[in-house]
Amino acid sequence: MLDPSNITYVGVGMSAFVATLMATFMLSVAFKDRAMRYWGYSILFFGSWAWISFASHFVDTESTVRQIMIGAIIAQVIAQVFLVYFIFAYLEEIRPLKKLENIWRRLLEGAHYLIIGFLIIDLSGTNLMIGEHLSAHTGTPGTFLLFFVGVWYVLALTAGYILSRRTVIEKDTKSRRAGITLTIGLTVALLFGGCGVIMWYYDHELLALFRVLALPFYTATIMYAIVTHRLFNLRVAAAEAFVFAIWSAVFLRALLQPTLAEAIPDLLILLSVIVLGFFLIRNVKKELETKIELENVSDKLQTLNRSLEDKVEERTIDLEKARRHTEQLVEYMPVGIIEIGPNQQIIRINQTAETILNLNQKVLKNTRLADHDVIVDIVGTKLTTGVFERQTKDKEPHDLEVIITPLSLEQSEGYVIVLHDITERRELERSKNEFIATAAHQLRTPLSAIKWTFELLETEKLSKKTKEILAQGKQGTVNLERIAETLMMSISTSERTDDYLFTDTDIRPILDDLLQMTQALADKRKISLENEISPALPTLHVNIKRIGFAFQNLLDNAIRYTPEGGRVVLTAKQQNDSVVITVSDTGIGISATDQKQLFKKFFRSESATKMSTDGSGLGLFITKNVVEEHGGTITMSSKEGAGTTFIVTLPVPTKQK
Amino acid sequence: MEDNKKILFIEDDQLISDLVSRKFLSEEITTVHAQSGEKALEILETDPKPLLILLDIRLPGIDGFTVLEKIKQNESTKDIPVIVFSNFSEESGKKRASDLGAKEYVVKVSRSLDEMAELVKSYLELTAKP
Repeated sequence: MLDPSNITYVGVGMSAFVATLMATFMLSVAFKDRAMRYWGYSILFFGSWAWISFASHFVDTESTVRQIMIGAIIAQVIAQVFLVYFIFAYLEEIRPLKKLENIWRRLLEGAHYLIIGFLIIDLSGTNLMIGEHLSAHTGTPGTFLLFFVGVWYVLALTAGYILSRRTVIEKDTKSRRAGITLTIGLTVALLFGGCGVIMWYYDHELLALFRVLALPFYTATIMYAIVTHRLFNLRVAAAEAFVFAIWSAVFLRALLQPTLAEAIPDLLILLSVIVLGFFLIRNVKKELETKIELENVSDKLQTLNRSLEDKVEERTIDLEKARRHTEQLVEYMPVGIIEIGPNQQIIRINQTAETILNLNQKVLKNTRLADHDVIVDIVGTKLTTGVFERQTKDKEPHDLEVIITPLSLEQSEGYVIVLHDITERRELERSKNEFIATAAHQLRTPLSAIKWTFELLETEKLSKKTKEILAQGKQGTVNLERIAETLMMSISTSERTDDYLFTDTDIRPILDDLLQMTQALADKRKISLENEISPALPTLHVNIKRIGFAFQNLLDNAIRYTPEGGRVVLTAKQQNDSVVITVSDTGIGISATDQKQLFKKFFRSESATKMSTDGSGLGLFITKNVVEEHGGTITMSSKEGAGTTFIVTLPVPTKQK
Repeated sequence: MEDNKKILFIEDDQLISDLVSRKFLSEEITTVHAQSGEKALEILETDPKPLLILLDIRLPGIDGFTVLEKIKQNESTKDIPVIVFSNFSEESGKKRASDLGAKEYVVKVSRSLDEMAELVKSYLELTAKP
């Protein structure tokens, strides 16, 4: 049969053992943590209460039992004082205490000191706190015991309130959950524990049950705190439990010896076991500390890593922003851009390009260039670096300047195609040329009138002087006519409004005709004009009128700027796949500085101006344009005072090669 | 006067037509002057028809090409030789005139009055022969 009082003793014994174990554990691993240290002390004193209560079981004298129990209760109240320290220190860990909270703590501490004072006085036999009878099981209440009960419950409520203050502040869910558990666990354990004191007034079974329940509840809370504060370590716990069990066993054995002398060997064993246990725990604890330190370092590393990751992410976002910015710029800049990859695929095409090319559908990235007819029409299928002009095949065709540049990608080659819409520029040039053409045409009619007037006048009977004046007038009209013709010629074929026909023709008769026409001028200036045209010349693809003008101009210049008695030679011969035509003279020559500017519009060299006053400065400019229209080149070499040679190279059409 | 050869000169510029008429008159060629294409077509309605037509291209109202086309479409005038007499020197114009049935395309500014008269006379002699 189990006596209820025996059950209490067993419970108290167990409490003592468990509480001491827990306190040792908490103090050994969390001594550096102020709040946890206070809590450890509190548990240690709670264990002391249990041990002393347990010890009272073995004492028979009632008065001695009373004294022992008062000592136990003093230990209990000291445990409560430390609990007060713990509760407030726990909140202080994350924020300073408010003024009212501080006052409250002091009051609560004071109340406990007062109780301790009363209890100490009661040891002398008074009944301030404790009545006459007191056993480990129960007792009679003293005069102010109710004060103790009150303080107990105030402590329970304070624990609930203060601990919940911290819980409210905690941010992460884990700390918050730990806070809530600690608050509820400690508060409920205190409320249940209070039943032990109420029992002094009302002995009720339910109160006894609550009192017994307080212990496992409290233990569970402590365990939870240990685990959540990461103080738990199985090896430390096992080592401590083991050491503590041996201590207890050896201690009990020593207690059970009838005499002190017989207990000496056991006490010696106890001493050695204590020392050994101490070292064992210390070593295991050190290991744990190292582990915690490592974890801290790892935590720090993790934080660092996370901030690094954040930074990388930030930079990535910045880069992405910059990339998008550039992309937007490219997309809407007023030139069309098409990027071609190494496999002839379209990497990018901007909106302007799509608008210029009048593409109805969005060109998809990475589609093949060859699949887009409109683009192929403009740039061709084989991309080659260069600048050229094309016209779109729309209803309203656009003139485009196409620039193809190679693009070095990673280890492979691509191209960037830039499209300029030059329709407006071309339009402007066209209207300018139209204006020049119209002006030149318009000049012709009054010019004809003047010319013919002079002609009619000549048939009249005139004095010699009048005839001389008339001749000068006629020369003026000839010059004017030539300028009008030159103006017409200055408009190059590609820019002309009407089509000048290119035909495949033998160039020899053209050159022969030119020589014949120039002969009169050469005779007049006493210059020998020599024909060195090769009899076998291939057919060339030329605009007869314009190429004629070009050579006419070269011959005229040669004769005009060669002093009397000089020579002008025209040569023409095939050289590989081109025909080389030269016009050389024994004339005044062109200075090195003037040579550089020779083909520029309206340029006239100083020496040329001295010799002849009626040049327009357009002749060589037009000649060069005409030669280039034919896909040819013109170069010159000259020595001042010795003569000049112009070398024109015209390509033979491909099929004849 | 009956011996006088009659030609129709279609030209909007009064000065030019006066100079040409003066020259032709000295060669005993009578010139009837029309200042526009419309006027010329009106004259061509009446008899006697001219022996030769000198036609300018740039004219107020209907242009020389249209006049040429109408002359060639009309049964009573289609056989009269037409010399286009213009200041436009483009090949395309020359080709068009020739396609429409013009005998010759003359750029005014590059010819002297003498040459013009020679040309006209040669055509008149050609038409005189049956």
